[in-house]
Amino acid sequence: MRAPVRTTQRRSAQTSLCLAALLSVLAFAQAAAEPWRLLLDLDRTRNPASAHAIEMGVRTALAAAGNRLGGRAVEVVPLDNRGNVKRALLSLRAYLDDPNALAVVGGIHSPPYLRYREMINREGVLTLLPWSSAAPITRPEGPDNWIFRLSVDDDKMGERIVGHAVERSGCQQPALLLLKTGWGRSAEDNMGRALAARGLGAAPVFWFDDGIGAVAARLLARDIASAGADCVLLAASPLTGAALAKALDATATNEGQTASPIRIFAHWGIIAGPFTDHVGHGLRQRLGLRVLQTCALLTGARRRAAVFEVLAHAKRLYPDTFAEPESLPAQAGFIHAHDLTRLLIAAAEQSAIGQDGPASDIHDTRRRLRAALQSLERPVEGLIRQYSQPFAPWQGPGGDRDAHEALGLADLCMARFDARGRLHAIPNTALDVRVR
Amino acid sequence: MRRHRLALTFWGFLLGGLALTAALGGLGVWLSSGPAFERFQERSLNSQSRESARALSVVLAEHARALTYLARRPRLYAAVTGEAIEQDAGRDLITSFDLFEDVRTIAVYDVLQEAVIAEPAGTESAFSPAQRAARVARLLEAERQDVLVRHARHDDHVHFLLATPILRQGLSEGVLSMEIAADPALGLTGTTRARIANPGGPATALGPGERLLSQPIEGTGLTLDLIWNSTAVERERAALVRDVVASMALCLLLAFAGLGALGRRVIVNPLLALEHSRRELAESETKARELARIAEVVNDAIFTADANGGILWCNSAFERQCGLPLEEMIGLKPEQGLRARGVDQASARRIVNTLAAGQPLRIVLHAQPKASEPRWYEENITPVRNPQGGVERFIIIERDVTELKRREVELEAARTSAEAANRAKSQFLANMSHEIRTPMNGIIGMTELLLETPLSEEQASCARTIAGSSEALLTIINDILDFSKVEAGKITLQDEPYDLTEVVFGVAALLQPKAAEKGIELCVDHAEGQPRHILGDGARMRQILVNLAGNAVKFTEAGHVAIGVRADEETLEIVVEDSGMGIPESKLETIFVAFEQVDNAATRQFDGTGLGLAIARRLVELMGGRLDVRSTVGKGSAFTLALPLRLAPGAAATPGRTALAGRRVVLYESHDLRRAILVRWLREWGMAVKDGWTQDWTAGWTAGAVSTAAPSSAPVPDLVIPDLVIADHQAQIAAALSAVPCLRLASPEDAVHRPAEAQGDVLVRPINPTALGGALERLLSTSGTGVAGTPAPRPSSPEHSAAAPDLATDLSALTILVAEDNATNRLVVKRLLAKSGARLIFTENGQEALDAYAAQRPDIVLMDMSMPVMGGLEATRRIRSLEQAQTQEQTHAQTPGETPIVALTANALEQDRRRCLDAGMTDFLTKPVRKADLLACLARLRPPSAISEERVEILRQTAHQR
Repeated sequence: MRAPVRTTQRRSAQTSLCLAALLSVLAFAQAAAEPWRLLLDLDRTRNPASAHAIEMGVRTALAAAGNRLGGRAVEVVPLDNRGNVKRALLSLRAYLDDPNALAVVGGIHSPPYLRYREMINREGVLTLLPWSSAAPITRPEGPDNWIFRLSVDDDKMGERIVGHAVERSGCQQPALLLLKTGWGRSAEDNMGRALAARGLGAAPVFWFDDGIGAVAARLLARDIASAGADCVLLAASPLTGAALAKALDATATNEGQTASPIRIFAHWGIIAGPFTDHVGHGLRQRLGLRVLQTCALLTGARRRAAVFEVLAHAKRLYPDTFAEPESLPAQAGFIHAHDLTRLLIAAAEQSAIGQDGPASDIHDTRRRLRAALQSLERPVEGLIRQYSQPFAPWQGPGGDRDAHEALGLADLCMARFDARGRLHAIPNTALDVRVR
Repeated sequence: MRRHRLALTFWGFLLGGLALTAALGGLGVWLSSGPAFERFQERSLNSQSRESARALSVVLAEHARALTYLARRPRLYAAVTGEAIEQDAGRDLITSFDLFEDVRTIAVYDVLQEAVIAEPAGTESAFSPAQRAARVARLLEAERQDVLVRHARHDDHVHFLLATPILRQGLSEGVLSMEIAADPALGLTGTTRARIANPGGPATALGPGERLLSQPIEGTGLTLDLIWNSTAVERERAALVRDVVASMALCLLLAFAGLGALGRRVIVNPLLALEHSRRELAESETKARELARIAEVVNDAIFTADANGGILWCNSAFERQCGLPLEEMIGLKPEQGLRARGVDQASARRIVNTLAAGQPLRIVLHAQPKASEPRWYEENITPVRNPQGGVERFIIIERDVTELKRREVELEAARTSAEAANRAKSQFLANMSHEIRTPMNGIIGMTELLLETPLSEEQASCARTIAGSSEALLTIINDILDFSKVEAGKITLQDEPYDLTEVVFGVAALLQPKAAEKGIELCVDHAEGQPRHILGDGARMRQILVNLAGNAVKFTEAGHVAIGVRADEETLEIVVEDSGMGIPESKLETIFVAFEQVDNAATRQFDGTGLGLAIARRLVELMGGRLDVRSTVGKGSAFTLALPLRLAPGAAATPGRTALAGRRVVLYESHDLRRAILVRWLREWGMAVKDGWTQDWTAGWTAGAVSTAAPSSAPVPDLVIPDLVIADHQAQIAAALSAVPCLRLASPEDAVHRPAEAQGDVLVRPINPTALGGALERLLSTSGTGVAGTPAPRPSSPEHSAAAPDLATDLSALTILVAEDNATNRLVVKRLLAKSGARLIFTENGQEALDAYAAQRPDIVLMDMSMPVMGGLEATRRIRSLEQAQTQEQTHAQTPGETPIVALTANALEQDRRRCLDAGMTDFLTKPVRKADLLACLARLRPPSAISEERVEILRQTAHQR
């Protein structure tokens, strides 16, 4: 229990109040003194780059708004779930125990929010996801939906990756290579659906545990080669993804198939960490590595005024990191977190939660904030684009599937690495857009 | 008493020794075993504690290795962080891992300190939740793959908790813990308990009587304290000592038992034997005194003699007998003037020989003591031998058996006279028989001759009456003779195989003429399957059946007489049935009593002695059977003869007539009974029989009626042609059957008088089933050749036909020597053989016959038995020896062989016959002799050379025509 902070502002005015009144005054005084809190449930240990990027995105957006939400101070509380679902639960519990916590900003992983989705919606944890891509997270079975995403949505990801691999790159025998988690399972559904739409429903699926060693990766790669695949659709974490990429390359070399190595079309999970540190440029080239991204990369040519403004804020906050924004590791985290925080700021202003008295119910505040998010009246400028009513009220599974999705298929691009490991989005063509 | 005391002392001594040894040995063991055992146990515990500590450290290290290996599995990490897709991925990993047997639980805790996996579920942990939480909390902070080892006691067992963090990139994301039981590694015994002590922890508190051994557990920093209870050790030691003492005691007991047995044999038994012999000596002295008294006072004379016969001692009876006191007789021999007259020489010799041989002897002597008349003594001499086997002396006991001897003589005399009387009676009977037979011979012979002369009707009638009366009289005499033999028990039954069929059909053939004369049907039902060759007396069986069937024919005026044979496994039953006058129930038993007929009227009407049934019943009883009668007055009687069935050894069962099975036959038989019998026989052979006489044989006889139709008979749709017809001799056979082979059944009269009328084969009644079966088989097998090829009718005349006399009417080539002292009988023989053409030589006694034989060499001799000068038996013996002498002389001449000698005598008893045959005679005829019998006999014995083949053929044909 937090130690009460004593203030003297109101106590002098109301000395004759009864004990009950005094108590309520004490509670009010305490609440009024507290800033809002945003809890960052990030994997700082295993995916520090993504965690850092997200935090910078949040802080940059807040800084631009004077670190206030609806007129009341806001405090960012960075937590570390170490990529452990159970530790994420600790974050959620901390939110529920905190009367000033407004929202939880999620990290790179999908499993925590898949696992605790039911609890989040039941207890009313306003969850903002700038990275997690598993499709079911924002699509609960029930009528309550407290999770909002501004990120890659696997529901559309499959279409983009498969379309790019098959139609743009001419892959004929794709194989799925997926992390054995809920995220991998969701990726299987989506890519499988997109493959089936192209008559490739029988593509083989290979599963792996996170953290497998080089030997296990080699065995897996040999199996994939034996299956006759000419490209791999990969959903993996950065380190495991690097191991698998090396194994696939080694298999191709050993088998004397250097002429036509198995190409990799990766979900964006691999860029959450130091993937490029382990997979060099030559190898990336050999494997024809492509990775899913949102289209508005900082390396992108289309620089808008809003982007410059944000980068300027960021540079003030993080002068070293933003000396060269193109090289920002896991920059998608920064971009998404920033845009999502901007939406949150807009919602807070629209719902005027800052005017709530100290005695107001935090649950009510959260409900109003959610309602505002679902019906933003004014457009909000973001790094990716200008958002106009990005979210809508959740009508249940029968309603708009994308009610809590800020981005669409058009916002997803495949990206390539340059020699320095920076990502460059490959603009979607008319073909790509048409398919969607 | 003394004996018991001796044994008691002996055993008491032994038991005392046993107790002392046991007590001293037990004490020694008790005192010395304690320290030794303690030392031993201490050493054992030391090594046990070292061993246990080592085992424990190995077990812990192994489990720690397993634990860290598991903790590194990615799948376990996925499970503990909750990112795994499969709910049971981690649990599957653990359960698929081949865990050690002593692992009690294995659990995985997540960062929330909640057990994600707990296997096996529900196992109670030895560690409290607080203890576990502390470990987990601590390990969640860990950054190295350390294994935490903790221990606890649970239910008085030592348990270890091994726990290790589940690390990811050096950070703990969960805890894997394993609880193991230490007991299997420790291998504790019941008296030892273990405790794990932390270094520097509190010293193990010891209970009363407990001892402690500490041993460091390598690699853990822990100490294993083994604590054992010295009280329990004491208890164990005590148990061991008890066992040692018990087995020692057992060994002692066995040793003493052995010693006891030996001692008893070596020490006690000889003493007891001595005791026993002393007592026996006393007993035998008493007995000897008693015996001496008995010997002294007994009535029989008793004395003992030395090996040479000299008297050693005698009792008073002997003194009385000899009239001398013992002192004067000592050394004398009994024959040396001790008696007035000694024993006879033969007896004396026997006695001397026996004494010399040293054999016991029992002899009856006739001797005269000095004081009285000669008397009979039974003398019992027993040698008494010394241990070397030599005779030491003799004990002689003399008993006066004079009275006994006298009674014996009287008895012998009575027996002799009784036997003489019996012999006389038998002789009388034989004589009477002989005496009556001799004149009867004259009467019968002469009457027969008379009847062959031309006589007026009246004369002939008278002569026939005479002949009949004589025959009747002869029968009576024979019956009386038989009966007397039966009564005297003089009949001995033969026991040899005979042919029952032959007997039965012989009887039938014998009675057939008489039956035919009276118009009675005589049937025999003796099916082929019934026993044929049986053991017994065939002649007596024939006699019985002749008697029964003869009676039946005699007392039946119309209808039939049937002889039926049937048998089961054990009993042969012959039924003679008639449709005669019957016997009232009140008389049923008396008919078997001698000299009884149903009533006097019958006696008047039917001649006979009434002995026949009595004799028959006695004979049947002698054969071990029963003869019963059932009867209904006016309807008929049935005599049933039941005998135990004894089949002749080697008598083969009659083979079935398979050739007949399934063949169809139409039977034309006018007589109901005969028909019934025939139908039964034919069906027994498996034939399908239709009665053509009383029914329409074509009716209902279709192809399907006979399952195994012979191939020769092609089925005709409307009418199935039978294979065979069996018909009465004169029956008219349906025209449809004219082409079917036919067997005719004829009465003897028909067969003789109308032979040519028969179509097909002819069988003469009474029908023998064997003959019938044979004829049918022959007919069926030759039926293909047609009726024309049927051989000429060949009446199968019964064996006992009356053909022989006719055959022998011509004996012209024979020379017959007749030895007969009685002139009448000589005349009878002469007349009987007058027409035979035989040359007759008459002699009047044996001597004359012998002379005539030597001079004229007759072909056959007829010899009377009782003749003056030389009897027939003696004459026969002489003739035989004469023949033998001549045979030896003329070895090269043609061997004449034995001349047949036929006894012709009135001595009709069996023993007479035996005597004749023993003397060398060939055959035996009794007077009065009938012409037929005589001729048959002569024909049978006629030497082969005396008659040409040609003549034989002529004779046979003549016989057939008759």
